[in-house]
Amino acid sequence: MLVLPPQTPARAAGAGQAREKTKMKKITDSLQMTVIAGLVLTVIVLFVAPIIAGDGGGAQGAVEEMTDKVKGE
Amino acid sequence: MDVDFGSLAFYVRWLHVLSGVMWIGLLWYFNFVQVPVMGEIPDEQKPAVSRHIAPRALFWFRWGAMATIVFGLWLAWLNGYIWDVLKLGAGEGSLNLTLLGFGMWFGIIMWFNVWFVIWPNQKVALGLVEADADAKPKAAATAKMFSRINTLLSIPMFFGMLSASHFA
Repeated sequence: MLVLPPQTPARAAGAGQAREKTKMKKITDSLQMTVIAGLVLTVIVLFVAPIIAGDGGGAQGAVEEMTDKVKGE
Repeated sequence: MDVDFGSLAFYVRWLHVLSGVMWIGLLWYFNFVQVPVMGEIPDEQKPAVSRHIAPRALFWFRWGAMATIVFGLWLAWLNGYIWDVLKLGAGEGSLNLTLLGFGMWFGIIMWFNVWFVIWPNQKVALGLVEADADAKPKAAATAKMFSRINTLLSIPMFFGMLSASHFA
């Protein structure tokens, strides 16, 4: 027969803290995932943007655009 | 003496950035500070946050979002590229314009989430409107999820906004 140790107030508090730590870890993990997902979406946007911008929309286009600005065109 | 006070677009940009800092600053406060720390606060002290701090923070949060979107659209209109940016600079051949368009659309989605998802659900969760006891946890979960989505979107949103002038 399994005999469980008596649940003292200190033990109960410890268990409560452990639950809070687990909850906090989940939230922290989720926050980390949020930030990582945001960075991934940024990279996706960076790759998709030149396709949407069309001809000259890539890095070369951006350089040409800046060159035109410098030349005052 | 001839003093140049700058263009109207400059002042609108200034107000856009000021209100944007208010909005996103509070968004990150909710996500990085308030929500994670609530689990550590004793139950008897939680009303200090939910009844006093959160409603005040939410007020500046949602009106910061409104001011940011209004000044942002006004700025794009003053600069003459509002329609090009709204159609993501498609076919314009300008990467800066397309990236700004992404930033603007992410910002618009975030503004919509604030006013039409997060705020209505926060009112229920915080007990600011009458609702069933069962509705509160559900509303809190929905508000939290969309707040988290906005935090996610804020990262590429800022990338797009900064790209307008500084990408290349």
